[in-house]
Amino acid sequence: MRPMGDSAVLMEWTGIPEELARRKARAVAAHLERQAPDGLRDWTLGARSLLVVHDPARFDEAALAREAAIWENDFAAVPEGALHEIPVCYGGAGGIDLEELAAERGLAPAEFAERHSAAEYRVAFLGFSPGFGYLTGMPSALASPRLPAPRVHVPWGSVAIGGEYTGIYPSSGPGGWRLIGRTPAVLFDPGQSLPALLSPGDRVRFVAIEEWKFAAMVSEGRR
Amino acid sequence: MKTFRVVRPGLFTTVQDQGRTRASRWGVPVSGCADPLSASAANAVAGNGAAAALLEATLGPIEIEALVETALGIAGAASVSVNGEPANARETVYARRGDRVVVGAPSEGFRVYVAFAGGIDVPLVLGSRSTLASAGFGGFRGRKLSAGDELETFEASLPERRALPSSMDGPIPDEVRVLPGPQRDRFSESSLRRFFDGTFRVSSRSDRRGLRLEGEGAPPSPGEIAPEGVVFGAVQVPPGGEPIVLMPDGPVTGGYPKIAVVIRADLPVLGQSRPGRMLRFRDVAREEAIEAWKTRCGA
Repeated sequence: MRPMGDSAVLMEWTGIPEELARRKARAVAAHLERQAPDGLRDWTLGARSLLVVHDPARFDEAALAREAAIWENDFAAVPEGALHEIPVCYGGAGGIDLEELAAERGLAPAEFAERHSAAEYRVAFLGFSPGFGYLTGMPSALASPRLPAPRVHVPWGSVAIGGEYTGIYPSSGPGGWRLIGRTPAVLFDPGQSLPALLSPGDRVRFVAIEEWKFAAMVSEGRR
Repeated sequence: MKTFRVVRPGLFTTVQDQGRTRASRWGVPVSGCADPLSASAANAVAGNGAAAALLEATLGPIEIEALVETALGIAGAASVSVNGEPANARETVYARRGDRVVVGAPSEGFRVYVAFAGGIDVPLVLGSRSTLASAGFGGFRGRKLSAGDELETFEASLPERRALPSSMDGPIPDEVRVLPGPQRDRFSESSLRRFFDGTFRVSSRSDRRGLRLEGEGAPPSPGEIAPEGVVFGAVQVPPGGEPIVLMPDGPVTGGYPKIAVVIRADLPVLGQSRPGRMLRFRDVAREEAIEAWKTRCGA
């Protein structure tokens, strides 16, 4: 455990595979939810960590350290993630980087898209913007560095690649990941008690759709 | 019942409260007042509890028209007037229907807080009334205020006249106290010396997401890390070298090493640091940080 200022503590699991580290982090988070220790304000999952934010006048960090050592192995406490099938229109106006990324690997755009949609992904953690999930499980051949300077405007629903991760921009805004397609799915709705479609631990499959289908789903009011 | 109409909204005025806890798991930042100390002082002067929603006005001035009889608590403004007549900016301001209240620019800081008796009534979104303008939700219609907007408040009787505490009168420090960030050990001795000896200028590209710092003291970046949860006050060093201090609307996770984290008692200094202002950092012991926080809570 390492402090992050006077009101937060970072628990990090190193030296083990990231997926196992995240399961331990989710197990501790599940227990924190259940026990709601005095002074707990929030928690945030990372790639191999859990940040616990608290009120230092009331929260007992030493007790957390003791209990987390037990909780982290209670995988039964971790809810089985949901499976989401997310429709994607690859390439075209919504996936302006697909051709370039495919060409760099000597692939046709359709082959790149096939490889991307053949994999099963897992939501590692959320961040960057509300509802933005970092998905692991992408074939390593598709990994692509982020743009050196972010684009000013990335449209909502853009399916993108940033390093080893793939992700979906829930709302329009600036972004530095490479854009390979676009989904009509709603990723974030602040009016819902569960506002994000994706939760850490969930599984994701991308299902390729045609451009007319994307347009039809958008006009059907799925957005 | 509508309580006031915005006549001149100022540069960037939003509804804020103490922010969202328990939403970072969905990638939702904490939001809330950038200077929580001034915000609770303004609320107290308006007869409200510290949790009431109020206006956070960046720079200013702003002008509002009372639509009913109300009372205002204002913190950080150089001047206040009612129908053109100067009022005491340190005390409860009473306004009758039709009165125009002008809240002047900050006396020294960057943000002025304007509370109304009863607190501003906007819907709770994920447990808070704070605006997250970058994502378009919370506060008043998810955005900064515009001329003509009419806002409601919760019902409350008019409070007795109160004044801001004298502790609000001191100058805003140009030094913020920090604790080591989780990646402190990745920075070399000479990088750390540069950082702590350096004076940084607050960049004009700063906003409610991050305070960007320019200056000779910027330490070279030691590379990136596995993304992890971050907090308001974390000092990140991206590859460009210009440190970014995360503010309430900043992202909830980040992959840049953190050289330092501002102590909770000094977060208000960040909220009041306007572009062009010079800032220094000073390492303190954890005990001093906690003591400073307790003193502030007791003040």
